[in-house]
Amino acid sequence: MIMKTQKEILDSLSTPSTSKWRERAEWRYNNRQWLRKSHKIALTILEFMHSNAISQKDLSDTMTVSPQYVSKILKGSENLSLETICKLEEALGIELMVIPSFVTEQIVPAPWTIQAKLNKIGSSEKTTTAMNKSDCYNWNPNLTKESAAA
Amino acid sequence: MKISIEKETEFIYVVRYNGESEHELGLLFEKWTDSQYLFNFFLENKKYLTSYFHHVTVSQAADDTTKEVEQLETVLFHCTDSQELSSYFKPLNNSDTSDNNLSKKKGRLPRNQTLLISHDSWLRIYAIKIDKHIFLITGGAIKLTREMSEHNDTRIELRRLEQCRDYLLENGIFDKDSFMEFLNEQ
Repeated sequence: MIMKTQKEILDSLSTPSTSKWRERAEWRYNNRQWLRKSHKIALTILEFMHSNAISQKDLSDTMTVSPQYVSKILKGSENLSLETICKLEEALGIELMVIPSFVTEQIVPAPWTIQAKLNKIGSSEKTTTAMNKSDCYNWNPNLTKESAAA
Repeated sequence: MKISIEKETEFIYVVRYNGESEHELGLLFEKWTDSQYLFNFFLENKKYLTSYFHHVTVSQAADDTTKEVEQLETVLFHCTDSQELSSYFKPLNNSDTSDNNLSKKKGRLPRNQTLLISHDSWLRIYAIKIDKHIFLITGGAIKLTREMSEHNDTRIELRRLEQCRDYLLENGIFDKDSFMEFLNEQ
């Protein structure tokens, strides 16, 4: 007869959890980046609605969506599309997401910097696969640090 | 009081109260990850924010809690070490130095794990220590007052701790062996 350890007995006897907590916790962990943003957007909307006495019904009517959908958004666990965010912004008259302003001049590393990095990783190519020459603004592979300073 | 006990890990067991769809840990994290629930909670308890946690607005409090919940859930979900759990759960009363079986415990994130927020952790998980390596979670709360008796939510949790402890004693549970025997009979 095989003697079971106390741990094995406990494992076999205890009621296995029927809870969805573990599954939900894993999902939240794996999706935490966008969930953080969704929570912040939900809180911004909630604060605005509270300050301006706007009900969920008001918002759902303005957006022409169901109150249930608005409720889902306000829970902060909805993976909002850009379209929905824009509809919310339009309905409330506020900005919910700010995109950094577009950089008009492309900032690229100098050719000698790229070459130094390539030398370091042992590549003899003058360009990397990650950077296409045509993508570079004013790319001049013959430019040296000295000639650039002149 | 009718409860059932569910196993989450070899160290963590959780109470499911009669009539509830989920065990307590599941219910807590569903509430604590709901932005609307958190916003309304802090709106209703604004006076406690003003009294004990100065300069924290309702939205900031809800946002802070979201960060804290994420950290806490990670700790509990990834806990594979009973030592780690034993260091998380402290005696319910700060002045209590005993660590006996069936003692009441509170779990809170230590200060160095709440660096992203500007105040001490206010999330609490309450548990009864079955033995050195097994904890039975009875509930949890957002604690905004110094004493549990000062707020209805924590008063309820205190009552639940006591009722669960009485329930265990009434069913002859006082250590790991008796706990195992009880689970066998469930």
